[in-house]
Amino acid sequence: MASVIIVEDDPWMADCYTTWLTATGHAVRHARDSQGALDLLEDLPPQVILLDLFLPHANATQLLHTLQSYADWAHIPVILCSSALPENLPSLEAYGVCKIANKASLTPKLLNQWVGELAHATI
Amino acid sequence: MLTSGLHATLNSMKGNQKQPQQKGQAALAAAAHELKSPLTLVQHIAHTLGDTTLPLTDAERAQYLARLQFTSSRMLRLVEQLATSYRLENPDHQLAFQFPLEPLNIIEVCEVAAHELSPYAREYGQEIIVHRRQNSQLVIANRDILHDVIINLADNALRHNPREGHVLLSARTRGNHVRLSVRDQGFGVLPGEFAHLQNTIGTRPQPFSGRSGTSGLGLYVAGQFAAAMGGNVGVGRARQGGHFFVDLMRSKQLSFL
Repeated sequence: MASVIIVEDDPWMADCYTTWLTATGHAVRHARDSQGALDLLEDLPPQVILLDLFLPHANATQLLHTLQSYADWAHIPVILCSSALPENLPSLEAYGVCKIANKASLTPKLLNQWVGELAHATI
Repeated sequence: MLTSGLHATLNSMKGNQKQPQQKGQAALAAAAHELKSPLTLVQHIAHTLGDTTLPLTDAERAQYLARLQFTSSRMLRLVEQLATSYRLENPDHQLAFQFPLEPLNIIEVCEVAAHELSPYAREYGQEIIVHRRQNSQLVIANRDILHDVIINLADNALRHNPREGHVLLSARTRGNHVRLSVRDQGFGVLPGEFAHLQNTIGTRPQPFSGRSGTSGLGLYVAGQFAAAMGGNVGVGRARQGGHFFVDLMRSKQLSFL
């Protein structure tokens, strides 16, 4: 089972993801913004990060850049998601983004599958 | 009640604006974005409630259902406001309507709106406080339209407030106007960002850097509705948090309201 940080400013959306992931035994923590995510990372780096693209103030790309600045965070796989994915989103593999999803396509089964795959790959 | 002639006069005081077609397209784009997020949330909640492998308690199930109801209501309200917005922008349209203006106690309308949003404020772990002064503050407005303006501003505040925060509604007289302030403890909005909302609406999914997840459409519609009543919506000064206000014409009528 994996440790996951959800970075999502909508608490009700985050609750859905938390419910989906904890049901299969994953340990989930939630941050509403980039700074909150960094605080959680400093406490204990997760195995997977679920990251909303649009966040208050510092958006996801700034957080991704910060993650790459630290050796012990740079390898953490990221699932990037949004309700409004830009059409011209550049490749973010260099920033640790392994999956990009339109939130509308996320289901409990799919999210758990991805988290399981990505966590297993980091072991 | 004021005549429809005054309504037409107030409508003509909006100043230079985009061409109707451009504004309509921008509003359409903003509406599409604004509805995507809550619809996605509705879908996620449906997945959560429908997945029998997820161990939900009765209390959790009830909470998800309440969120489903509120999110659906929010979307319906937006759609109705968009219809009203269209009619305001197209007075020659066959579905155009005239709305009566009358002296109203603005705090009483606030209390109705606060009561409507209270269950959802509790869901967010927050409180809506309406500051009532000794003297009534009467404004010239349409009750339904004013209600929508207040709901939009207060709902916006709730969504961007931290947990355990509160939303404060207060009114005070400023010359010939009454200013209703809606304050929260979330990230503030820069006056410049709000001033450009008319041009940025529908062109980007996040017009306010500190407030994500909103296209600004609710605020844009609130501004449009306020203008239709001869008023305006703006960003006020705040040491911390967000501060939106709506200025409306003060009624000098003696009242027992």
